[in-house]
Amino acid sequence: MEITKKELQLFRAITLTNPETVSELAQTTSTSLSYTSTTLKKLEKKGFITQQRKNREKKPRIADTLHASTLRTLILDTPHLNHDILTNKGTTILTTITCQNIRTTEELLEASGASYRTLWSYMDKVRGMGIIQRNETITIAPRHEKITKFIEANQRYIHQVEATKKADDALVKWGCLDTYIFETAKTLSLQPTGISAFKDYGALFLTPRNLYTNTQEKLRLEDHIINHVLSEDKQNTLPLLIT
Amino acid sequence: MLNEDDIDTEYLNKKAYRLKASTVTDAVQTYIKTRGKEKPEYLLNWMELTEKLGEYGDE
Repeated sequence: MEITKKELQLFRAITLTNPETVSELAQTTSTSLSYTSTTLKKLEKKGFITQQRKNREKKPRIADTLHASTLRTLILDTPHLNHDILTNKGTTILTTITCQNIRTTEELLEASGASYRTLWSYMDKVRGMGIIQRNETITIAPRHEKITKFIEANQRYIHQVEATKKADDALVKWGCLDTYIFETAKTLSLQPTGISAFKDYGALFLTPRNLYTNTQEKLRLEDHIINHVLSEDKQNTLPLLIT
Repeated sequence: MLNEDDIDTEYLNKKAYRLKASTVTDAVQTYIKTRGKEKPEYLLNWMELTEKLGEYGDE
């Protein structure tokens, strides 16, 4: 889920000016009231803001979500950064770099789904700003770790919202771009993965919750082994194997 | 029964690297090296593999 430039402009204005009403925000940003209201609804749906009714008007405020608070912190701590790099296709490109080991521009092109022209222009800009660095892989520079934190939190939020639609007790364990892995106590008609799929290879583990992936692609044993590792918590105890 | 031939290590390593799960590579390789000579039953092999995945996952 990408954030648009207009949405970011309003989020930034809410962060910096703490407006009392939507009308005040519209005035501050020189935007029409109806356009401001529509954009705020989109920001609300994306978990960035909430709107509290105050008499006959609404007061927009930053939501208590991790991705909203990390974006707020990023805006406050980096006033001279052009935050537009976080918008539109930039969100997807940065997300790809964050969740995958990408070695070449060709790999990034394929993984992000961006057009060559968009990617070339974007990479040129962010490299010039010192945000992206290229060693063995293309990464966000460590000094811009707040960008990484926002990108990760934003992605996690999107996956959690999607997973909750499939099972109300869903807990996302890992995700990258359009794919995520989640656990639930429910039995769903989705593809089991990780340890929940090992039974298909002759090993039935007793686990309190099932692990699923949203991908439609038929996974192989190797994918399930990788997904098992990706979904592991550090404190996980070894599940019981049924003999 | 799970043999080392059942795991396509080239595919596994390539995908694990891309998804930043390279610890899986070490776990599976260690498993393959030490697997079931004394305990050949596949269930125990699975347990050993899962243990290795857990050990490497904690790093």
